[in-house]
Amino acid sequence: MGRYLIRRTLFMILVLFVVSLMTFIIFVKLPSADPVERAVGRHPSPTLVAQVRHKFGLDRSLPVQYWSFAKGLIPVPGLWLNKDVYFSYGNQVAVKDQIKERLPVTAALTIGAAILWILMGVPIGIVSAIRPGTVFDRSGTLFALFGVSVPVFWLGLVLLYIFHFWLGVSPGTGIPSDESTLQAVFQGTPPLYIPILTGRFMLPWITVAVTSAAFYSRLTRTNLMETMGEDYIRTARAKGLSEKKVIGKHGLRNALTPLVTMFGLDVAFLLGGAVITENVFGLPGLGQYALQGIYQNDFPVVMGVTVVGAFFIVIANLVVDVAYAGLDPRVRYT
Amino acid sequence: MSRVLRVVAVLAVLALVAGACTKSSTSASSPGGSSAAPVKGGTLRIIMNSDVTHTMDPQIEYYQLPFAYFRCCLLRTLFSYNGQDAAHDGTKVFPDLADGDPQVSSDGLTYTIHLKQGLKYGDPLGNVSITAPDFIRAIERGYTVGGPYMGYYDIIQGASDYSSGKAKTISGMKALDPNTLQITLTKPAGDFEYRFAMAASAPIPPNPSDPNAKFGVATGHDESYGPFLVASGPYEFQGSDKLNFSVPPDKQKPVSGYKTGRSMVFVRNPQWQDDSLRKAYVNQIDVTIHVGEEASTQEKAVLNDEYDTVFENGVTPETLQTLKGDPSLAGQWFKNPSYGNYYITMNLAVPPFDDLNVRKAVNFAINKEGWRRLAGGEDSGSIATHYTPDPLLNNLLKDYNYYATPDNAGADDPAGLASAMDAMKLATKYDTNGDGKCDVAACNNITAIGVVGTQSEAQDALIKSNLAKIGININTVELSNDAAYNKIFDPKAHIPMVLFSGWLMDYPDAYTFYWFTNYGGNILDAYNTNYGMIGATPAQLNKYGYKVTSVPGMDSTIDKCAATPAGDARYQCWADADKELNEQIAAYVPLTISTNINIVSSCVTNYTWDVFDSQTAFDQIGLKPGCGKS
Repeated sequence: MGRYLIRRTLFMILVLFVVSLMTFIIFVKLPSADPVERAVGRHPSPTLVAQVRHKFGLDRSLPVQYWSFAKGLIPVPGLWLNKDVYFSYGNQVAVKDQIKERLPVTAALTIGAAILWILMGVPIGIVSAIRPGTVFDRSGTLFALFGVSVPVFWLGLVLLYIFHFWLGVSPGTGIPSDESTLQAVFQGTPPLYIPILTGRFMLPWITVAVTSAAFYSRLTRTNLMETMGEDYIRTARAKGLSEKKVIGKHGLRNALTPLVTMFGLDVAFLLGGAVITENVFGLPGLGQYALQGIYQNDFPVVMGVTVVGAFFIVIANLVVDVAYAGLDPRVRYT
Repeated sequence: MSRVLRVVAVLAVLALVAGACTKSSTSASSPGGSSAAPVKGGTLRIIMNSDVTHTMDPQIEYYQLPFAYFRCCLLRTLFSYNGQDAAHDGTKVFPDLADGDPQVSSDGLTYTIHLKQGLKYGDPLGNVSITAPDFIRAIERGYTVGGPYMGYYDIIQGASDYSSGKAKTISGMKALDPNTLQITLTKPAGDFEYRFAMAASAPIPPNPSDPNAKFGVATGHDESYGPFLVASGPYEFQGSDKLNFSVPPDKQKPVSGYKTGRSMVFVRNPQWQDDSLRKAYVNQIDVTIHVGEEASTQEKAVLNDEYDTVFENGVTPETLQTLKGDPSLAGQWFKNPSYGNYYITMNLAVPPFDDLNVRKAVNFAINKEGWRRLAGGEDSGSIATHYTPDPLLNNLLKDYNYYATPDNAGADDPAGLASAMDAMKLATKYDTNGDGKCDVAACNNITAIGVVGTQSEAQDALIKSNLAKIGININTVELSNDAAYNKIFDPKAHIPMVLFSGWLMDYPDAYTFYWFTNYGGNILDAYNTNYGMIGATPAQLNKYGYKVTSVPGMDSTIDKCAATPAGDARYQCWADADKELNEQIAAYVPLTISTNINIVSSCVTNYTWDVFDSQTAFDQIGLKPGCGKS
């Protein structure tokens, strides 16, 4: 186990470096505006251009530039996303500070949405699997079809239109500056003041959750139907166990194991920033920050958010792999 | 170049806004307006879908959004504006912290300015007076932190030496006593007061805990002084009273009322007094920043009274339709001139545009009305018959139209085509058989840079078809904004034609429309905004590899107008310069002067448009009692 973890950690660092290198190459190679151009204003003097170019580190060779960013990936205080390099070309604010400020918003969006899509997707999948061909199953199929077909930005805007502008029961976009993320999650808003339900994250959660729930319901249905046809399920039934126990204890445990992998990666992916949802709902999270960075050709921002997103994914991968062994005794650390 | 890019982005948004509209208003004035007598109080709620660029640092920000907040609310300058439209003297500067007009020496080089006495800074320096050295500190800091528009202050004696590190202070700025500032220039500048109405020149207080700190309370905040800003205007950031300048800069905590990229809260500055320019009716201003949010969502929120205004330069087509279709909203939307123009640029150093008659023919050929129709018609702006927006010329050229064609239809009208062909016939080098069409190879496959987009591509296609009628065949190359600017900023790229040129004033004086774009002495190796190479010297042309050896210029005219004192003579000088540019240089085809459409909630009263910021004047509008945020 120890050797396995060390190997995986080294692999994780390698992945981060590869991701950062790719991001750097894309930034350098793709035609885009010179970041200095945005900072120097109209008719800049050559001195000012040189001053800003030096400040941004763009007067150094490409390998040196990359290395200064790569050093920021080493998870050691003073190096990790260090402020000397990882600052926004746009507003000079440290990327680390912005990530720290925005991560709770993205985390709140991710966690709530994840709970919601599990609560929606898994039960729908179970009912569809144990009642195939019934109206429940067909409704589940319809839901899945809707969920995977509907674009996230469209769903977000429609929900906003119906519940906020039309019915007036949900809050609008954004989080007021005097509200913390926790308040935004739990505090009800006018006119209904129902905690959580009329909180500022309810509509974003639904928006993110619908697509994932659709996938989870299909996956649960398929896996469960397959599992229910296994010999050990027949054995369990032959031993006289109740159908509830057969499904709950023997069927679901095996059917849901693949979902763990998917869940871990989905959560990690969202933690890296739910770009569309955050922008539709004006949530100041990592996704919004990343998009802002891309629009403004703000490389340190893009690099910072990308490696943080990649970090979450590799960590989630590791956690999922470790957890998998606990869930499935056949899995061994090698 | 941030402001230029934003200007064009703003104009593009505006054009898009209008693009989907089929019905256009026939009036250029505001369609409505709530003019109930304003009362003091309330919280003005502003929403924006883009952020300021440099965390509200007055020396570094070079963008309309922060300019507006600085002028209306946070900072006072030696001179400033009354926050009104052109019809109400909005283009003029008035003494603000200065106690009257400056005393100018007979050679026009030395300005002596007396400050109003008894004025103090906002929290936490409520006992610190605003004094003359504070203005010197601001300008010196501007150079030190690389302020993007410090070029406006290069005319101060010694400024160049200071910025290049040859001098430790700016010799041309002296505090004669705490209340008297003397500024010596290297050449006369008729727009002196305008330059000292910009935020970069706003006073920075000394640090009482460290009187030797070179940049006062801004010392140690080179990345951004914004979150530590000490106000002089009617408002200050919430939490300014908690700023502690007695600890080292890296230990200081920023104001609580500014959350980068999220929000700003301005509360009343208890020390504010003796200000005849700002009304400051509202008690508090809440600015919500939702970067990248759908503009239509924000507009809907304003019409729903969740916010009082959205800080943008146009509305989406669907919102415009709503506004036009609902008479009850008549008092909530306003059409305002933006003082930004759109034009086509021809490079004087690239054949066939090295011939004045070819350029004149192009001017006659373009269907301006068609171009505007593709931008959305009258809602998108007014047809430009010359380069400079009329209010900046005191309307001296209002009826001037040198390249007039019936209905402004250019070559799409037979008479317009005839005028264009007549001009082309005079270009004998290019129209060798005198049939009114260019017939040499130089007129084929001419690269014309545009930007991608359904509307702009349709406009480019129209230009292409217009020019084909006089034998000029352009090859339109549409690029992303960034890529397009990368191309046209480079004088060595020899771009013959730019289809998306646009400019917006930095302050309401015509100088800002000429200095950067038309002055030969300002042509730069990189980030060059004189795309037409107007006034390039033979040496410059050679340096950048042009075969053409001489081009016309207007540097002496610009120098003359720049030195002319503000007033009628100055207006006349710039009007004459505009005619010279239009008739003798003709590097541009002016297309439109754009229009902004702004919306407010039903809570807003006394709507006012501020020329300087091209934006709603937040210090002039009021709120109905009990309306909006409680």
